[in-house]
Amino acid sequence: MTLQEFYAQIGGSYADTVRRLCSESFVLRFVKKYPANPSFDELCEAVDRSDWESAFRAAHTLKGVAQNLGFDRLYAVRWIWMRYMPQWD
Amino acid sequence: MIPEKQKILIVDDSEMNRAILTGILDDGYDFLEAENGLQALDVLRAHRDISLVLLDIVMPELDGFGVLSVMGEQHWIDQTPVIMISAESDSMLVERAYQLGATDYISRPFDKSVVRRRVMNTLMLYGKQKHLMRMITEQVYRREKSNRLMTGILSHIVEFRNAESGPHVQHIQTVSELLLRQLARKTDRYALTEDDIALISTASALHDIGKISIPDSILNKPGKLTAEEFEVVKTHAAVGASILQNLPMTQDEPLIQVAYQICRWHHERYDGHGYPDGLVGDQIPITAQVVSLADVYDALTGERCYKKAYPHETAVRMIQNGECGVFNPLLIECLLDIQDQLQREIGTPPEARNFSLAAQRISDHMVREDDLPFENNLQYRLAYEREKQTFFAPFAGGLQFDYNIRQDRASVSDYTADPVCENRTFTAEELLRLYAVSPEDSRRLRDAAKQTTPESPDASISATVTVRGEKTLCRIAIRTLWSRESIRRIIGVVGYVVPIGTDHSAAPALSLRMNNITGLRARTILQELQLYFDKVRLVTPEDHGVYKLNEDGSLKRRERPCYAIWGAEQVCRNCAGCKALSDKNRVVKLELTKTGIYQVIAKSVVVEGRPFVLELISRSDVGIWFDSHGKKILLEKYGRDFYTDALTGAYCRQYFEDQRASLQGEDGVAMIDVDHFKEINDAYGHPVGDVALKKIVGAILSCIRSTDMLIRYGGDEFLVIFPQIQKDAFTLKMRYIQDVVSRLAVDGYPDIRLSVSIGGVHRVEPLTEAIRQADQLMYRDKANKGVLRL
Repeated sequence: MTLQEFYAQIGGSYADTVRRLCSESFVLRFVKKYPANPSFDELCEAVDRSDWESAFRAAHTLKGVAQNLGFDRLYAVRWIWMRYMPQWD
Repeated sequence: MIPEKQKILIVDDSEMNRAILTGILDDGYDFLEAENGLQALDVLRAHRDISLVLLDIVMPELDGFGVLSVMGEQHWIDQTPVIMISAESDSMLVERAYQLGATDYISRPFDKSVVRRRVMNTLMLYGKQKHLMRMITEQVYRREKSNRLMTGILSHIVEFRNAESGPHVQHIQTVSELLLRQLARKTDRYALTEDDIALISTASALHDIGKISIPDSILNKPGKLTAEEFEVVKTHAAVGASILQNLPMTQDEPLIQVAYQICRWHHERYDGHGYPDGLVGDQIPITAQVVSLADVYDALTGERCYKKAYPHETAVRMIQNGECGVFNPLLIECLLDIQDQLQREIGTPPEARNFSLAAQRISDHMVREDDLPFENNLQYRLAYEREKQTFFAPFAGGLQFDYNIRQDRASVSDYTADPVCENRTFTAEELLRLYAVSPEDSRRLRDAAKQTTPESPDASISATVTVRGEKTLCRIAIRTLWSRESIRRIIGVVGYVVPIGTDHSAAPALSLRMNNITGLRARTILQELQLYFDKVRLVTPEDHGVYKLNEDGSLKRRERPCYAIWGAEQVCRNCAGCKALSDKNRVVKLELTKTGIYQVIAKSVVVEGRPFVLELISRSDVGIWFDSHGKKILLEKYGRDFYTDALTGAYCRQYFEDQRASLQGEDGVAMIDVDHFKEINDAYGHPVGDVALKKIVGAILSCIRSTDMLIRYGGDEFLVIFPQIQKDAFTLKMRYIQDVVSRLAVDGYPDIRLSVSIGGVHRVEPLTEAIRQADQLMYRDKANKGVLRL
């Protein structure tokens, strides 16, 4: 699968991301790293603990990275998810 | 030698984001990383040579704002610029970061070229500032040193005759300086600046020049003087003063004035028992008071032909006991305060004294002071540099030029080019040709420059400029630099060229806090803002006044009312000024006139204790607007037609959406829907439907006030916004509209009966909710026709 096909699959914006970051290889380098991002595990653990402050931050981090890599659909999901997360004091 | 790479600290809790930033910025820099605010502060504490910080906002431990606050408290932010990384383009967060001292921000998603440019620009701007600081320090240091050297030589000649101990002059300078600095710390009574202190301690060297007239036999007599001899010695004070008075140079020179005071009165005493004039208390200039105490202290602690040296403690005790006459009690306190430092400094050989520290202090002071004394060329040149610097400061980047008229040389820095090309020089002709500025535009630019004065040196024009082969519409802004001679001439022009529509912004000027500023300060800010906006003015919306700021900062009301600028004879609809004033905030609105669309940013300010609204007006024909933070935005489409509905002449939906931000807090909101409009279209055809719609809009407009706003919201759906209306009047208006519409007739189609359904709400917030409720009520009205609901 090419990077372009990958972006089409996950509902991301390939052209815009490559333009922003100037090269496909640069984007590819970070796309490959994305699954290893510890924030997702942190998010799951925080939700299990009902530690909403940490959960918010982890989601925020994931959102930021998704945004930078042009994972639009993922970004939108995270964003909505964050808005409906219970508020902490 | 390879220059050391600049260090950038990246603070972000996501390792991925840090890696992306490092990747984007590449190998031009050294990177340090921190994953939360506390770590960032640790790194900043450990590495004081960090050139730039990239700072995320949301982080564990301590967030970005926390880091900024600490950097502010510690004054690190003066040396180390911070660029914020903001995930959301939330302008409130960005605004807060600016207020805390951030220089710029980068929003996600990252764009490689934007990130690189912002980082480069910020580094360059701070680099230039640091360079300037260093230059001033260096120059002040040199000037101070040679001044001191000259006075040192002069006074040494006197002392040499006197056969007094060599370092006497040096000691007096040191003691005076320390006393003065302590005095300035203790009280504001004498309003001493760093400049004054430097001047007095320099002049103190001359305190005894009058002794040149005293015969050797008396001056160097060991043992006690006779009464007559003492009378002769006493003349040295008045003689020294008259030597200075008779100098064939200007008496306005501050150094001469201060030296005069010191020579004449350094033997006066606080209780009036001194000589030559018997002055009492603060009749004696503080300059002389300080030097006289320093003189006595040094005479006591040093060896003289008539006495041995006393130890420090004895000398201080003798002074306290009044054995050498009475001194200002405040000065004696100062002497006691500085005892330790005094013994340390007097013991140090003069070469080792840290002149550069003093120079640093003075230059700090000079950079902060608004008016520099123009004593010599050097300072003048520095002032010139400084003026350039302040002019360019808000516009890191773009194309900048600095033109010297006498030499007809312009240096150009093109920060849009990558790599940055700097310091190419051209003649004016070459420069205009290089960027293909048309003869017409060149003439306009010259005319604009001719219109400037030393008091208002700024001007700008828009012109077509060719940058790297591309014709671009740009704003050319210039500031003329003037000679300081009695006949003032333009000696240089600095300027920048910014493509209209880039992300350059008036944000720095706009974000200045304008709570109770002086008229003069307001004048400066307004002049700066005039570079960006077509019209900048101060108004008082409640009584429609427009105010002019005179050169001295005083405010004068103009004759014409504020709305006259729009060619209107009455108050504007949706007055942005009133809103800005009541919300104490910024409001953006669009004003449609016969000649075009204008955008108005209204901001509430307090000048000389009076509330005003600062209005920044820009004509949108060039396609540029500003958002409420003064950041330029480019609209693809523009023109009056863009905002009015071609068929009905009502405002169109886009106008409403663009205005939305300024439309909170309206009293009445009504939705109007034409009944059976589809049936009319189907039965009689669209042209007839269009005529009907036009008639209905005409009818609605005839019912509402000119300050109300009618928007074609959907096909046959209209939104009416009524600012400031009573509930009863609002209800009546809606009935009235239904009534007028029901009487309409479409020519040639007598059987068409027109009617509208209306739903209105009064004082419902926010606007979105008001519209939703009005819409519901409108449908209910449609369902049971004839009963109007509120």
